[in-house]
Amino acid sequence: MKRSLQAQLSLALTAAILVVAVGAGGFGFVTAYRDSIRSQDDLLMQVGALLKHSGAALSLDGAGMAAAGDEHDSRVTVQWLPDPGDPPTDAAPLPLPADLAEGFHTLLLHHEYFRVYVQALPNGKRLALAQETDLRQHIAQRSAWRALLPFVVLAPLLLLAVQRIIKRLFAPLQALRQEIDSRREDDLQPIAERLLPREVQAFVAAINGLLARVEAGMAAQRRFVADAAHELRTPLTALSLQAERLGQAPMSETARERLTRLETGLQRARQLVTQLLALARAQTPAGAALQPCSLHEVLREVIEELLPLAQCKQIDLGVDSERDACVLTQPQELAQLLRNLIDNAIAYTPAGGAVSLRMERHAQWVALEICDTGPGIAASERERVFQPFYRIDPSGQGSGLGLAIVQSIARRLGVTLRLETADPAQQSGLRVRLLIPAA
Amino acid sequence: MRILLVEDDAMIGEEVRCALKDNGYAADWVRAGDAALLALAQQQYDALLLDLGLPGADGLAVLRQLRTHSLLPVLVITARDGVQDRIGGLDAGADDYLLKPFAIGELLARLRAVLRRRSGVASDQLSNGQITLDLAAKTACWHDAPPVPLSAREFALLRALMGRPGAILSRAELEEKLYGWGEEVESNAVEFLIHSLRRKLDKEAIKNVRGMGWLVQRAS
Repeated sequence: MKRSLQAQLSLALTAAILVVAVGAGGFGFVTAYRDSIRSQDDLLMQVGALLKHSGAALSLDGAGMAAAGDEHDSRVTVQWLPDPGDPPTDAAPLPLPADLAEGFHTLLLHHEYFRVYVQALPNGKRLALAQETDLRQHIAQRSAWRALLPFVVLAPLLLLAVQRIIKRLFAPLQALRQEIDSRREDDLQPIAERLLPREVQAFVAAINGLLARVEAGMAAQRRFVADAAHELRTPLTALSLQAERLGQAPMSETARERLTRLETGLQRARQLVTQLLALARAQTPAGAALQPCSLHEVLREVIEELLPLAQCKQIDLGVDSERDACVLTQPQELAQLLRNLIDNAIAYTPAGGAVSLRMERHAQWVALEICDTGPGIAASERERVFQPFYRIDPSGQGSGLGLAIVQSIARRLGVTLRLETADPAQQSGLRVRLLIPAA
Repeated sequence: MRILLVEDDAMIGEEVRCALKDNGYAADWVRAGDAALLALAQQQYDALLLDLGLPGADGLAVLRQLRTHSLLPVLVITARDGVQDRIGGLDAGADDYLLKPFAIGELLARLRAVLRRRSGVASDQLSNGQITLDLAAKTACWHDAPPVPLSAREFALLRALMGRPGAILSRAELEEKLYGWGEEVESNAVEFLIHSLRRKLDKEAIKNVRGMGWLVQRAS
């Protein structure tokens, strides 16, 4: 399961805020309700206390009744309690039982609940103060809801604020992820630590350390390949020179035939070493700066070089577009990329075929297509052919490095590369489509 | 002709020395940079074959030191083929550059070219092994066939191509060689001249590259 810190943090904080809001709101609600009830009880008591002192002089109609408050609902009913033994009088507003003890009671009278406070007077008479509970509860609820209101309004605001703060805090991490995501695989530049939070900086520093070690390892590997290719060249040169000189000596037919085979083998070894060195160089981080140059001129240089090869096989090598295009590139490296591709095209095209180049100018790119009339590359092979030493036909003469070199250079020069079928009807021929940054 | 060969690899040195001897050069072979400087100080040479990867003094150092006082033709041999290495070698004063692995034939051809350039005798003939163009007589011949006289424009066009055998010249570049400034360029003039040159020499004499231009074969 993927664990996102941001999601977890925001979930936990949301839960915490909700629990606190519900808890605090509930507590506030209950407390406010109780306080309100109590303060109304206090009110009854105070009225009772007030009447206790002036009670003797209090004149009440019949059994006695006084209404405090204007509204019918909020009034407090005051009446004498009948002495024990006296029959209940109908004149009293509330049918209160005579045996009520001093203090608070909640009673069901006239199908309504009343809160009744009984106060004994010094003359032995007892005064009852009553108020409808419905009303009291209504007031208590109103004040309880009012106590709850801030939590109801503020909790969602707090949630929103927390979400925004979390998002802002995690923004540098998102940016960092995007930066690393969009990197090319050979880009081992350290990650900028400057704008990151301190906690992440240590982490990024560790990653940078790893990147540096990977970079050093890759550099050592490249150096080794370059050194090895370089060291191999000298003895190979000596061997070729010896074979060449041997060819000038008189020898039998059989010996000459074997010498020819030996020379072919030497030629192949020389080519392999040259390609290895080219690959090692193409994989070093970008060297020369890009400059605007004529694609036509680069093509001319490459075609001049490969023309003898094409002529040997009677392959018609040429360009189908008249207009030149200016590209932003490193001309020697682009030439090497094209040389490998055109060399491949010539190698895999049967004698009498054609290799055609076509360029097309777009706003950001110059598209260059190299089409041949060879067998083409099956769609399933198109990924793998770029791997070093991979050959579709393992008995082939190539080093298996050509397309790996092409891909490495293409990456350095920002060239996009695609392999297609040149002639979809016949399912034959390879079309290599290059998108070269336009100048 | 006396050649100084500076090569640290025993096998290559031996082969090159024998090949030079076989081809009529007197060759002295040393294996280190300081030995090369010593030999150059004591003996008069006609050319220097210099391997850049040397023990002792580096090949480039030898070349730089030599260039402070001598114009001796130098052909550099190297296993480094980076563009920077090549430019470095030529900047230090090499006349030409030979990349390992090379064939003896190539080495001898480059050596001849370097010696010829330095001797200052400009040949009045251009040849690519197929066509020979006589600059004085304004004639051309195909292999061993008798020379054919060329018109002024045919000569100008063929001379442009023979100046750099193997290089492709576009129509615009050829027209530039044929017409002066302000002269009106006739359409198809280039095709017409090439057609007539092919008829006079051989239809294979001048090759066309689709969409690029024309060339004469490089000497093989």
